[in-house]
Amino acid sequence: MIAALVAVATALAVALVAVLVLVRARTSAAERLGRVVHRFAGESDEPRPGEARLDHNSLDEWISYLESIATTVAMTVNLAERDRARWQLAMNELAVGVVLVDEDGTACASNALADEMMSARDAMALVGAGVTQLLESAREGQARSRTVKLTGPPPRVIEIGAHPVASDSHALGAVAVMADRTEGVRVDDVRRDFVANLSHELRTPVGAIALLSETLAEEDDAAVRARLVDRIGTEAERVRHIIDDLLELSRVELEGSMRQEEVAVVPLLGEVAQQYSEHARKHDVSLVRPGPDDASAQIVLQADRGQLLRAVGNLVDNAIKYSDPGSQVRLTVSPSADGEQAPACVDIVVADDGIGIPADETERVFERFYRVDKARARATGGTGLGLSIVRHVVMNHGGEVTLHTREGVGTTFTLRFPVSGSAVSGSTVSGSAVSTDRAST
Amino acid sequence: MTEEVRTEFHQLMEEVRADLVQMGGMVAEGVSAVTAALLAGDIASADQIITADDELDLLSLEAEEKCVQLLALQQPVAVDLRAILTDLRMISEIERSGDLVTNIAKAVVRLLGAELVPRVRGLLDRMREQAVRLTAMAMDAYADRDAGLAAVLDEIDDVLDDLHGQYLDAVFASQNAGHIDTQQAVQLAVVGRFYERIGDHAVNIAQRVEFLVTGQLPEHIGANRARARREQDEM
Repeated sequence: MIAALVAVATALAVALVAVLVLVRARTSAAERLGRVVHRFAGESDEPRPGEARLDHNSLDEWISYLESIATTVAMTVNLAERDRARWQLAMNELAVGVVLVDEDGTACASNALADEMMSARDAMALVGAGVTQLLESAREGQARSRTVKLTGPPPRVIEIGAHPVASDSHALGAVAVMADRTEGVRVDDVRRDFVANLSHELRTPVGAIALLSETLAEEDDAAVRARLVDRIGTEAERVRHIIDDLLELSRVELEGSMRQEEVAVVPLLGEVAQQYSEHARKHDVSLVRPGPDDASAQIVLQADRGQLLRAVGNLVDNAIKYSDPGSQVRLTVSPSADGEQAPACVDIVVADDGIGIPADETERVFERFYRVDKARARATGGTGLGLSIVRHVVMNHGGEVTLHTREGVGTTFTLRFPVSGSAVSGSTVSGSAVSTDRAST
Repeated sequence: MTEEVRTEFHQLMEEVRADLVQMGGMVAEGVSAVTAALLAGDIASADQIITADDELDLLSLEAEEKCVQLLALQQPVAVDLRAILTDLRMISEIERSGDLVTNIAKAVVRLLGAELVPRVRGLLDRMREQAVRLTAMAMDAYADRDAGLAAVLDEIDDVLDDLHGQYLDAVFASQNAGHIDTQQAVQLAVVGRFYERIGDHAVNIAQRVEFLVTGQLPEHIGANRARARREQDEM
């Protein structure tokens, strides 16, 4: 009996302990939950007295509170993502490349330009390697910069720099910036060379005239005097050419293309060919141009006829000068179709099989007084302004001039003029009928 | 390997990869710079290019050390082992291309005063263009593990080989026309050969990349034939 009582009492005691343990466990879980909720709410971890009790009311309250927190978190994440996307897009608009790394050196942000530069595997890979090195030392707290020059062509000058990113002397990582300084360096070169070349071009003939006239004053021999006078004439002619071209260039620059008229291109090419036929004959070069029966003969441009004549003339003049005897200079005109619409542009092309232009000079030949080969240019009697005039004429008409060249293969200049749809008729060009002004002696 | 060791391992492999891409960039820039120096007869630039090769040598030694460290300490297997073996072979290929750039730079001095006719100059420029292109493509194939790109490189190299042929004709035509003497012509011919060899090294790199991705080398075909013959002899 007693034994039975003891057993029942023991069982009761065990059950009581179990219930107590369970209640305790639930209470402690509830307490933890309460603490979490308070932390989210930004309050102290310690539950207020009485709140941590297992209580259905407070549980419901907490659950709805957690639900509202979940909504807020989702909204915040969404806003953060949009913020990040906005920053990314804004960074992509920057004219410089930007890379941000954390304190371990792992990239955490970069813009499109930086990605492009960092993923290059040609010579541009040197920029990427430089950035990696500078970021390394910037993470150690040392800001550094470096200029990477790439030969090309086209030549590139990239300036890279890296700075530590720290908040209250606590290192957070580093940022690198890469800036393309090519254009700035080029403009500096152009400015420097322009002044030097201009004074050289003007001084040389003027100095020669001074010297020749001095000699002339002391010379009695008639034959020598005649030769000196002839030389003075040549040098004076040279100065006159330069001044003419300078005036022409400034007029083209100032005027724009005021006198727009309908210009039939093929007859204009004929006129140029006529003008330079003597020149071509001297160099034993033949000028090939489309004849009046060619399909391109219908092409008409709205342009300043005088300027156009001058631009194409300058190109033909150059082409003849730098061609080998017996070779051809080809003049063509064609509409360049832009999609399936009416042609948006007209291309006037002057092509030769001459000596070509070195690859690293092609950017610079349009500069005033720029000479590829100083010695040869003087011998051929150019002023160094011809191509500058060509570029300005084309710019005045809203077009562009492009140049394809290879040394020893030839040079092709393309003058591309935009046209309104109605200005061009006869848009199909077969290019079959050509008339050749064979100018051999 | 524990997780930490593995991360360290891959980080070091990544470093080697970055080193190799940088070395490829140095070769590409070197080819451009030395061609510009050759065409302009610029001895000062040529000297600089010769000095710059030390930088490439140092980098290749460092990359090699990293590879040895990976092999010795981590005992990689399968793909990782193949990747490190590829890197080791690539280092020497790129380093050799760098030496060829130096050889061209030395020729700049010897060719000083030689009149390069436009056709020869144009072909030198085109060989430069192709050599740079092939090197950049090989490095692209390597960095992206692109076996397809690697496979076409051999065919693209034909363009350079063809230019090399045209170039030799142009050099000897120029010699016959009296623009340059025999010594200069031979020197120019050797220079052309250097460009062609840089292209060959790019093709070798591409073959290594193919091996890395597919486990196959072009040599395997020939090797299999030899193996079959050997077995037949034994029978």
